[in-house]
This record gives sequence, C-alpha cells and structure tokens, in this order.
Amino acid sequence: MAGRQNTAVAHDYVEDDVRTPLRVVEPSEGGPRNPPAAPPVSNARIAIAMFLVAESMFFAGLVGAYLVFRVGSVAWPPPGLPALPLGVTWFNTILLFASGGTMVAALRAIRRDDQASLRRFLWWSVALGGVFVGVQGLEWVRLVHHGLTLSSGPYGGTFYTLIGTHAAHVAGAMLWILFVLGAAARGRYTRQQHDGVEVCVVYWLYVCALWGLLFGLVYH
Amino acid sequence: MGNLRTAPITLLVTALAVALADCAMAQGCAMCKTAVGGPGDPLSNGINTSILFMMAMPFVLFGAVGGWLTFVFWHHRGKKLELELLHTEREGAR
Repeated sequence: MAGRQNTAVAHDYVEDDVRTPLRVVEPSEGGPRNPPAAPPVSNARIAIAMFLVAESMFFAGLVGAYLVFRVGSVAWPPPGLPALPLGVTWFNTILLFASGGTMVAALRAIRRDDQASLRRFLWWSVALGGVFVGVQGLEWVRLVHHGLTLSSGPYGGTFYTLIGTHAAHVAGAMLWILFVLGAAARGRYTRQQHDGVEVCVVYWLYVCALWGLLFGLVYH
Repeated sequence: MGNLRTAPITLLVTALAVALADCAMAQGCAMCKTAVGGPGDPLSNGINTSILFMMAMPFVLFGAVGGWLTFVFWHHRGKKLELELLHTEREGAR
C-alpha cells in the first residue's frame, strides 16, 4: 500500500514536471548563444523511409515475377479462367483512397491539437480499411467458386500472391492504426510531438498508392 | 610502403587481364537459354520487361529518397542561414 502511495506521489511529481512549459533561456540569462537546432529530418521519418524502400523492393520482386508471366503469355486471362471483377474493385479502390483522405485529416487534426477529431478520423480509416479487406475477401470466395484458385496456373498464382500480400499489408496497417488509436486515447500525442501518427499516416498512404499501382497492373 | 611497391605490378596484371580477355556474347543461365526461344518469343519479352523493371527500381527508390533528403537538408540550410542573418542584424541593432 505504501509502495503504491509512493508511486502515485512520484507519478504526480513527474506529471507536474512535464506540465511545466518549456522556456528558451536567453544568452543574457546564461543560455547558449547558438543553441543546437533540431535535426532537419527526424529519426522516425528516416526509419519509415528505409522501411518503405525495403517494402518497395519486396513488391518489385513480386511485380517482376507477375510481368514475366503476364507479358510472356499469349492470352491473359488464359482460356477457361474467369476475368477479374472490375466494378466492385473500383468501388473498393475508392473506399481505400477515401481512407487515405481520413488519415490525412487525422494528421491535420493532431497538428491543430484536436484530439477528438484525431481519434474520430483514425476510427474512420480503420473502418474503411476493414470494409476494403472484407469486400476483397468476398470477391476471392466468388473467384474460387468460379474456378480461379492459387493452383490454377500462373494467372491464379500471381494474382493471389500479389493481391493477397497487399491485403496482408492493409490488415497489418489497420493493426498499426489501432495501436496509434490506443496511444491517442491515452493522450500521448500533442501538436508538437506526433511522430507516431505521422509515420502511421505515411505508411497508410503508401499502402493506398501501392494499391493504385497494383489495381492498374493486375485488374486491367 | 609495401603497397606502393606492388601497385605497378597489380596495375599491369589488371590491364593485361582486361586486354587479353576473350570477347563473350551476353549469356543467360542454362535454364533461361533453353526456355526462351528468341527475340520474337513472348516469354523472352516477358523476361526482358521484368529485368528492365527490376533494374530500374533501385535507381528510382534511391533517387526518390536521395532527392527528398537533399531537398530537406537544402531547405533546412537556407532557413538556418536566414535565422543567423536575423540574429546578426539584431545584434547589430543592439
């Protein structure tokens, strides 16, 4: 019990300390004449850039394999196999791009310290991403019923591998947004410090842009 | 010092290796060579397209990231110089 009281006191002390507004110490008060400036690119931004380069090379490998089969085939789709559904995928694409818009809105919200809007837009993004993955799953079930499976030659194999890997990335990005939402609910992000939201938004936009490329390449 | 003494010999051996190397036509691996028919073969077109795409990707990615970093650092340097100029002007006014 005493330990818990001590922890509470320590917690209050730290909270008060953190709440004290920061102030620039002028050179006349003994502060440095040229205080060290913040680095032009934060570590979080460098990290997400490196991660996206690695992801791009991973997808480039898959697209490279797809191109070998697609350009190397006389008929695409091969005779006897169904064409990919365009209408519903267009609808799905619009949903995913809309979720990109809500993510940008979430970033703008935290930049003006609007915590409620941040959480609301993050929830919208998760919901739209969920609908995207759900609709794609239903389409896959329909395609399997029409005879397009992972083992129906290079057409089925490359389609499920490429689009499935992207869907897995969308699902992973949704988990990331949920994690950011949890941190946002605990009030972790502020107008000055919101690197966590920023990198998550960048990743989500990357996944959206990647879908645009894959949709143009695979479905047309 | 030892490196300086052996440098001419290394250079000579390298130059001879390059000059005396036999010309060889571009070759694929045995599998590709048997599978791909020739310039008109669709599979050959597919493999060529894929090779070009895969070859371009690292350049595109490193170009994009390098360009972004260059822009950010260049922009930051300009801002820093502006601040320093402002600081010097203020000091002069005092």
